[in-house]
Amino acid sequence: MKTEAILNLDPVIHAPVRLAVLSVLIMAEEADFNYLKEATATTDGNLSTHLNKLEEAGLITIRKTFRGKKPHTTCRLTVKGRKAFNRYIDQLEQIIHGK
Amino acid sequence: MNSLQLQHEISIIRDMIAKTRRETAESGHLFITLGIVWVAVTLAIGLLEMNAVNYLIWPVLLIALVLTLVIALMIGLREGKRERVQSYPRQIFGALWIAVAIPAIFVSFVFPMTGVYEPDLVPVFVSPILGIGFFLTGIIYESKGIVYCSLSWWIGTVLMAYLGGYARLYIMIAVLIIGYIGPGLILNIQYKQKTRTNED
Repeated sequence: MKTEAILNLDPVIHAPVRLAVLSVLIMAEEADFNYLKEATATTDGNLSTHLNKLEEAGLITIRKTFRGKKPHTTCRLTVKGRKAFNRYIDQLEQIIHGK
Repeated sequence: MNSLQLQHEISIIRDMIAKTRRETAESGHLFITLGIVWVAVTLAIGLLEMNAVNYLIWPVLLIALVLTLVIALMIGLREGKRERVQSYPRQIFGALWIAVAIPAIFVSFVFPMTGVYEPDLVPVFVSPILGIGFFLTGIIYESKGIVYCSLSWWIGTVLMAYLGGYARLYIMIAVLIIGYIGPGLILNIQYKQKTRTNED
């Protein structure tokens, strides 16, 4: 059962940066790119790649606007993303408790 | 997945949640500053009444209202600038205090100035409104301390309704300290605790 739980872990979430991004967004309604970059301690390019993967999987939405003349990118968790993250936590619990 | 990987995943989740909680925490600066301003204003009104210079009360109150709006705007702008994460509690908190401020302005300024009722009844009418604001703030930020502080507004309303004169003034000052500055200090302690937890 434990092995099954490990195999069932969502591969989209099962990456440190993507897991970190979803952990931020589960607590907040919306977070901007700079905050996510600082929180996850990653580079612009790396974060963009991971955000695109999360968006392609339908777990987050990315909104690009302008603040004055500067581009401003914000991310938001989707309903699917919230469900996927909760399921991931449940699976981690199963692994911890050896169910 | 071995136990080290598992621990690493859990530590990532824990760290991110702690950081985001810290980022979305309310500093309490607004309540502390405005609480001090309104204690000073209430004391000033008491002194003006004692010295029978009642014609200065409305100008003092209007200056206090403008000062309140300026302070709220300045603190709002300062905290808004660094707001990189939006949370539902903060949004609800903001909307709640707009909803509280509008009737509070009507009850404290518009109605007494236009002769709907005597100005000395303002504390009786404004206290239940502010009580709602602080009670719900306590619920939003899951603080029993703020909820208990907010009760002072409703206890104060009852006392001020039946006790007039300087007793009403003293009760209002006590309510402002417990029910206005108190929640600000509680929020500030929580904010500092979260900051410290995040830095550890």
